[in-house]
Amino acid sequence: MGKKGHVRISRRVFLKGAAGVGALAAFPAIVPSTVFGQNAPSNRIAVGHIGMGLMMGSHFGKMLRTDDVQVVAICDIDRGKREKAKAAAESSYAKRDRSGTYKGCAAYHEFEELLARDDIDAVFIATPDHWHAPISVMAMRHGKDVYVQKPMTLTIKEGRIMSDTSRQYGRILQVGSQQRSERGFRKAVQIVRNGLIGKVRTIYTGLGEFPPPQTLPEEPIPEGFDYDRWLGPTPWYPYNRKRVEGNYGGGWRCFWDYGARKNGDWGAHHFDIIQWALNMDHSGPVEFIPKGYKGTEYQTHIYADGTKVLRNHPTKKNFMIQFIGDKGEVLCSRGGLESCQTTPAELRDTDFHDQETLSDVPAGFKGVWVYVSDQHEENWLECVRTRKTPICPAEIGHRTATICHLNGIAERLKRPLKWDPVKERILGDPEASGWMDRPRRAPYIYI
Amino acid sequence: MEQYFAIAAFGGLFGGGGAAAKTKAVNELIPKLADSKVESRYSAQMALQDMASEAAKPGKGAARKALGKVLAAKATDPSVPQPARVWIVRQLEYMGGAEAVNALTQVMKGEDAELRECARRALEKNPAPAATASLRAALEKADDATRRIGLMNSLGQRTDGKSVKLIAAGLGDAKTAPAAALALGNIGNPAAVEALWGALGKTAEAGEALLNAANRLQAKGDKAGAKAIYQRLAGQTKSKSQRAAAEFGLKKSGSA
Repeated sequence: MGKKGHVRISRRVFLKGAAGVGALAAFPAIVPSTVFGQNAPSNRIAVGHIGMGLMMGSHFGKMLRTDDVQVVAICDIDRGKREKAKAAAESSYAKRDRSGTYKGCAAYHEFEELLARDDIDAVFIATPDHWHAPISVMAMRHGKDVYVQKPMTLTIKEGRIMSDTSRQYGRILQVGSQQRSERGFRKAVQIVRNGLIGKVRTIYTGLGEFPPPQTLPEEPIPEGFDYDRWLGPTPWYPYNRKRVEGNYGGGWRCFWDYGARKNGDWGAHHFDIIQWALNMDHSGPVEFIPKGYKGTEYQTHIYADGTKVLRNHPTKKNFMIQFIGDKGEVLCSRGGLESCQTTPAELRDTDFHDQETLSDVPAGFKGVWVYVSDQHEENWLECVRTRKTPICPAEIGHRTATICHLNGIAERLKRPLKWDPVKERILGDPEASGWMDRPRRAPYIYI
Repeated sequence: MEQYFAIAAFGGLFGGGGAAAKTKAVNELIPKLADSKVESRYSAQMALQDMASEAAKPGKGAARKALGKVLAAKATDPSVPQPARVWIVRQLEYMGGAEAVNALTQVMKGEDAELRECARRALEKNPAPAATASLRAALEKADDATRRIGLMNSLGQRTDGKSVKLIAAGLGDAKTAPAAALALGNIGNPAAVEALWGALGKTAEAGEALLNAANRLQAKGDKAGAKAIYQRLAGQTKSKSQRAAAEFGLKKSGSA
């Protein structure tokens, strides 16, 4: 953001204008720092936010406080949320403007209008899961970079499309699996990847359980809430508040129509860290066994080398993930470096120079040096500026979401699935294969 | 929850059972699927879903077909209450085969919009070639834009080359043009590509669809075909991002 009282224009608009000026006149030898400084318009990223519910809260607040970001538009299908977010953005900017007023954040009901704006560089997408892929793909086709909440997709096919689109259009896409940007998880990954606990055979992780989805009676649709658009490409059901509410204990997250339930909600975090630790970011497991199948006590997925991941198996001290290797164990949870513990304990003191950046790999270091990011949104913004690959790009998000979906499909069908992670195909089960994508409800066809 | 396992076990369905046993079990579920207390329908829905999944297990072709026939008959039976029919047609989306196509076609011609949409989804997923013909015939007669969009998309997902002319007609209507373009991109045969060139500059999705068609050719090994589309698109599109994407494709097809 520029100095107080300066007119706010985005990087994209500035550069467009600058190019025009450059064609007419030679560039001045000296330019003010406010033009090309860190927070100058040339560096400011114009951002739009789509889906102003529970998950957007922290992203939105952070972007409003970030100096070189300008929130220029918000979008929600709920009029109340839309108006509240617009007012919050304008009030936040007004406090930092000489005039004490600010009217520069547009509010949209339909994301298509927001994406059609040429002056927006990047978008945050924090809608329910079933809207992630359509909006992300359309955003990238419009030349926007994307930060999309986890899990990245509703179906496996959507993930392949998103990853390919990101690559073909050269767009930066960060998936909101922000545990990758936490030091405790990174430390655990570094320990595993460097073989300090030996060969990992078994991993326990806790995802919890949602209550079962419900059949719900019809209620009146609240004024100002576009229910048809909320449902979007998913099948039609009568409106009920419990179907659409966003909360961590259930709401829409309980329903198969909008995601993979806990496998998607928390699997997108923990399965993601496990993929990273096992160096399987571009591959995945080969078998998925649902809980209850022939007495299986814990939902399990298995990698080609036999490594097993058991969902909801108790972990030591209730840590979120427990890696068990031939020579030791690693426990990790949220909460920074202290939330990584090891057996033997001294493994945790292994110096990976956590605080350093990727480019600062110590001379002579022979081990595995994993991608270092200490703040997920900042990593994305940095990559938007530099065009570097973010810590959780579309391909990684797709591979993690694939595990979420395959576990979900196996749970729903109550039978194991075999998966080919190279060809990305379910093997020998046509009905299960049908779940790799879902038909879309008209007129919400975008991909 | 225990209730539906009891029902299913009583019907003898998890182990297979004859058509009569399947019909009996489905008949027993139908009133529960349409229970006036909506909250009570859930266990019956799960029971039917489990039956469908069990019947569609790999290697159980005969059981799948038998249940498919029973469900198809119930889907078109006007005495079956609407909420039950909706759930029945949803199961046919997951496991229906050729035996369900006629019934789904009939449902898709009905007055109930929710059922019609369920039937379209089920036909989109149905592996029988007759399902494609059914969707195509429906598109020929559909005049409502939303219905046309759904049908075009289904035919595009099924990559039905015979639908190109029908779908291309949708390029002329602002409401249906984006869906028509995306469907043609999925089909991606020469006729579809030709129709898309005609829409370039008029419908934003035409460029995306051409990229999709080229990517598909590339994936099939037809690098020359893909390269021709990328090259022409890079030269003709006014969209900066489409041009960049086409140039990316060109690099990939470079050895052609």
